Amino acid sequence: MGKGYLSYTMALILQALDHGYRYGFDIMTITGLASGTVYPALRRLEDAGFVGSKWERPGVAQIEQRPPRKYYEVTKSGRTALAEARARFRLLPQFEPIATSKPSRQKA
Amino acid sequence: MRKETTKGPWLWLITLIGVIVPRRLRADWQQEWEAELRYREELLAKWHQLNRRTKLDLLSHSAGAFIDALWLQPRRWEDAMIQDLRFGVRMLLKNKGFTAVAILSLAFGIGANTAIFQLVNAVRLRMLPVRAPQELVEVRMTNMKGARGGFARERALTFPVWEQIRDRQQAFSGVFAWGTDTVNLAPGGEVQPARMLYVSGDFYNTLGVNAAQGRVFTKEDDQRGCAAPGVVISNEFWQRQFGGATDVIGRKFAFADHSFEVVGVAPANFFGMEVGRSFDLSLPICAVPLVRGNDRFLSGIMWWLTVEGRLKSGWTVDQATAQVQSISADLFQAALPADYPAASVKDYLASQLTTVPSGTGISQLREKYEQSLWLLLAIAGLVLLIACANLANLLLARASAREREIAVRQALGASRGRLIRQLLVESLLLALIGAVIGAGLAYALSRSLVAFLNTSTDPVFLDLAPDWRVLGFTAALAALTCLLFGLTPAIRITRTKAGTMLKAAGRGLTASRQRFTLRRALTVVQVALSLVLVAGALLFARSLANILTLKTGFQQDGVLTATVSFRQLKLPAERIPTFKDDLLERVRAIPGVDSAAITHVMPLRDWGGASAWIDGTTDRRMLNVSRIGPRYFETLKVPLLAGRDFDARDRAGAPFVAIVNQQFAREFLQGAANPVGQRFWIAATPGSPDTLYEIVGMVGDTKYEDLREDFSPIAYYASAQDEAGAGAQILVRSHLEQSPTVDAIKRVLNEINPAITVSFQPFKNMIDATILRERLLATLAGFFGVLALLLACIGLYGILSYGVASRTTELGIRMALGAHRRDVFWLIQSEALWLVVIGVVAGVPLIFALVRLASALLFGLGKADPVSLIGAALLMLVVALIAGYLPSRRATRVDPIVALRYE
Repeated sequence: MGKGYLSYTMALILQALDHGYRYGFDIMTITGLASGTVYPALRRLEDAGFVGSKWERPGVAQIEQRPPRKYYEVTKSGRTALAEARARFRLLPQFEPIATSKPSRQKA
Repeated sequence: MRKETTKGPWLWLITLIGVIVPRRLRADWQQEWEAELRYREELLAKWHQLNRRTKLDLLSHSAGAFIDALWLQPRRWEDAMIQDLRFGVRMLLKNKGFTAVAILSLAFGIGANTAIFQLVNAVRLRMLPVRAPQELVEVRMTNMKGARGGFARERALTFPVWEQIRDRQQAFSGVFAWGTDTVNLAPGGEVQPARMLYVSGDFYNTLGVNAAQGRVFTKEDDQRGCAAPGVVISNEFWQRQFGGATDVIGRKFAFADHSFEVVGVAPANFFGMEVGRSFDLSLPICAVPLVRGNDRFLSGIMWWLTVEGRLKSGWTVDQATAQVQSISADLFQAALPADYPAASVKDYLASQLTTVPSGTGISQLREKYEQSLWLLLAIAGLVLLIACANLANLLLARASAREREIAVRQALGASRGRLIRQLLVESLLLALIGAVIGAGLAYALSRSLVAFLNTSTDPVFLDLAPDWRVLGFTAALAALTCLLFGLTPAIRITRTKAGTMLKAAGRGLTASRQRFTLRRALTVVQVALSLVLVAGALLFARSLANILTLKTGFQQDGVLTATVSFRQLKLPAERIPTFKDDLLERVRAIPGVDSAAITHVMPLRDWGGASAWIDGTTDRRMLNVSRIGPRYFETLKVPLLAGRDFDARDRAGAPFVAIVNQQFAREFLQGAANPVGQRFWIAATPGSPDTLYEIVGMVGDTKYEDLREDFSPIAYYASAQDEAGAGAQILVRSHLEQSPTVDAIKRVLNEINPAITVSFQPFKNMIDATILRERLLATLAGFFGVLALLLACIGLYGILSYGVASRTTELGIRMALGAHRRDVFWLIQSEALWLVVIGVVAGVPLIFALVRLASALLFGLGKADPVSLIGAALLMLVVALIAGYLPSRRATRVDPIVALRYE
C-alpha cells in the first residue's frame, strides 16, 4: 500500500478523527468498526504521517483519577489525504457523525 | 463520580496480553489501553442503562487489545534480540571466508552425526509401526540345545511348538507367529524373487495393523490345509508390481504353480516385523505346503517361526516368562516330533521358553551392525568436537581483531552479559545454518549408507523418516556445538579492560600470552583427537586388508554361482539324478567353461553341522559338513591331497563315502598323513539314523562359514548318495567374462526346458557381502580420518598465520639483527612440529581406549597395532609440515625495514 493511498476504512477513521473524536474507543463507537480494525489502522496512519499522537496532560488525568490517555489528531498531510479521499469516496461525507454524541475532548 | 484506582480484571488482561508486545513499546501500549479501558469502565458503571448491542460492542472492543498487540509484532524487528541477529548476520557476511569454513565444517560434523544417528535410530531405537509396540514380547527358547533339524533363522521355533504356545499361553491378550521365505514370481528363466511373510491368522489383528485397502487376514484364513488362500501385499509391492492400480483387490497372480488372489494391501508404513528387511507378499502359514510343495515347514524339525504376543494389561515380561516357563515341559512333550532322533529327545524335552520385549522388532541387521554404528557415532562425535575446537580457535583469532570494537561498546556502557549475548547469537547463527545444511547432508548420507549395506540377495530396508528423536538429536547437537565453540571466545574477549584497549589506540597490541596459550591448547586437543581418528582409520583399513588377504583355501575369482530350480517340471524322483547329470554336462560343454560342480552347501554362506566320531572310538566332536558333486574341488581349485574325488561309483545305495580336509585329519585322526580308508560315524538327525562313512579322499583346508574363523574340520558327502531335490546350486568356473557365461547358461537351460528358473551371483560378490561390515567401518573411518586431518591442517595453519602476523615486529628485529631466513623459517615451523608432538603424546592413551572399545570389530591386529600408531603419528607430522609451510615462508618474507618503521 503506497503512502498516499487511503483505503475506505482508513479514510473513515481519518474523518472521524478530523471531527474531533480523538480516542480509539470513540472512533470505534462512532464508525462502528471493530477494535481489531481501528487500532492497526491508527498505527498505519501514524506511520504514514497522516495522524499524530499525543499523551493527555497528566494533570487532567490526575484530576479524573485515571491513567493519562493517548489521543490522536490529524496532521496537515492527513487533512490533504482526507480531502483527496472524500473526492474519491463520494459516500464518505454522508457518514458525518451526528452531533448529539459529543466527543469527550470537550470535557478536557 | 469517584472510583477506586485498583485494577479491574480488564486491566489484568491488558498486562497479560502486554507480554507479547515488543518490550520497547510495552509501557506506552499498556498505558494507552489502560486508559481506554478505564473509559470503558466508566461506561460500564452505567451498564444497566446500555442496550444489548452496545454491551456486545463493548465486549468485542476489548478483544481489540489482543489484535492490536499482534499488529505490533513486526516492530520486534527493532528489539535487542533482533538487533543482535541482524548484527550477527552482517558480521557473518562481512567475513565470508570464515563463515564458509565455519558453516561447512559444522554442516559436515552435524551431518555425519545425524546420518549415523538416523541409522542407529532406525536399527535400534525406533519402535515398530504397530499399535502399542511396547506391549509386544517374543517367546523364544532359553537355548537351542535340544533343537535339531533345519534352521531358517536364529532362535526360531517350529510349527508344532507355535501351535502349543498358542493353545496353552495365558500371558497374552493375543499371540501370533511369523516366518519369512523367498518365492520366485517368474514362470521360467531368471528368477524374480519376492520376499514372503508367512503369518498366523491373528497376526495383523493382534498388531493392530489394518489394511490400507481390502482386508487383512483373520483366524479363518489360517486353517490347516487351506487350498486357495488370499494374499496381502505390501504397499511397495502394490506400487512396483501393480503400478498402484486402484482395482488391485481381487486381481490374481500366479507363483509356485498356484494362482493367488490379492485380498488386501498393507499400510505404507508397515514393513513387517524385521528391522532391516521389508516384505512383498504375506500369506497365512497354512499356505506354506502349497507354495513349497511339501509339508516340511509344518513339521517339528524346521525351526523358522518367530512367536510374539501382546501382554495382557497389568502383566510384566517377568510374569509372562514365569507363565511360559511353567508350561514348557508339557508343551515340548506335546510338540515332540515322532521321528526325533532318540539321542536328542532328552535335550528337546528339557527346553525352556522365555520371553523378551520385542517392541523394537527383531533384526539380524541390528545384531550385525549395532556395535559398529555406535562406534561410528562416537567417531563422528569426535569429528564434530574437532570442528568445534577449530571454530573456537578461529573465533578467538577473530576476537583479537574485534578487541577494539568490543572495547568501544564496553566504554559506551554495554554490559558484559549483553556483549556475550551478542557474540553467542553469532555462534548460534552459524550452528543453526550448519545444522540445517547438515540435516540435508544427513538425508543423503544415511540413504547412501543403507545403499552400501544393500546386497543383491539381501536388500536392506530401513525406515529413515525423521522422527522426534532425530530432530531432537540434531537440535541438541546444534545447541551444544554453539556453546562449545562460541562460549569460551565470548567470555574471553569480553574480559578485556576497555581502558587498556582504548589506550593502545592505533597500535596493534600483541596478543596476551594467556590467550595465545588457550589457542595453543585448543590446537593440541585438535591434534590429539585427529590422531585418534587417523589411527582408527588405519586400524580399520588394516583390519579389512587382513581379511581381504586371508587364505581362503580356494580361488573365488572367475567362479559364478547359478541356483537352478526345476520343480515346475514335476519330474518323478527317480529321473532327477540323471536329469541333473545331463544338465551339468551341458553347462560344462559351454565354450569357456572350465569346470562346473553341484554343491548343497555354499561356502561362506550356508552351514551344516553334525556330531561325529571315528569308528571304534567314543570321542564325539562337532564337524562341519557339506554335500557336493564330482569336480567341486577342481572348480574351486582346492588341492586334492590324497585319495580320489567323487565319481559315478558314489551312487544312492552304495556305501556312504566322504572326503575330508586336513583339519579333520588333524583333529579326528591325530594328524594322519593319509586318512583314506578310515571310517567315522555321524550322529543321527531327524529322518536319518547314525551313519557310517568311509573316507575316500583328503583335500586342502578351506574357510567354511566365515572368513574370520580358523580352518575347521569339514567332511564332504557325495550329493548323489542322498535323496535328490528338484534344484541345484551350481558353481561354474569360466575363463570368459561373466555376462556371456550367464547368457550361455540361460540359453542352455531354456533349451532343456523353458520352465527351469535360475538366478546368478558371482561367487566373489557373495564372499564380499560377508565382509560388508569391515568395508563399511574402513570406508567411514577413512572418510572421517581424512576429514580430521583436513580440520587439523586448517587449525594449525590458522594459529601459525596468526602467530606470524602478531610477531611481525619481533621477526623484523630478529632479521635486522642478522637472523637468517632459514632460522626464521624454522622458528615458525618448529612451533607447528611442537604442537603436533604434544598432541600426539596426548592422543596415544586415547587410541588405546579406542582399540579396547573396538577390539571385537578389528581382525588380526594386536592390542595396539604399532604400524597404525606410527603411521598416524607420521601423518600428523606431515600435516604439521604442510600447515606450517606457508606461514613459515611468510615469516621469512618479513621486511625488517617495513616491520620496524612503525616503531
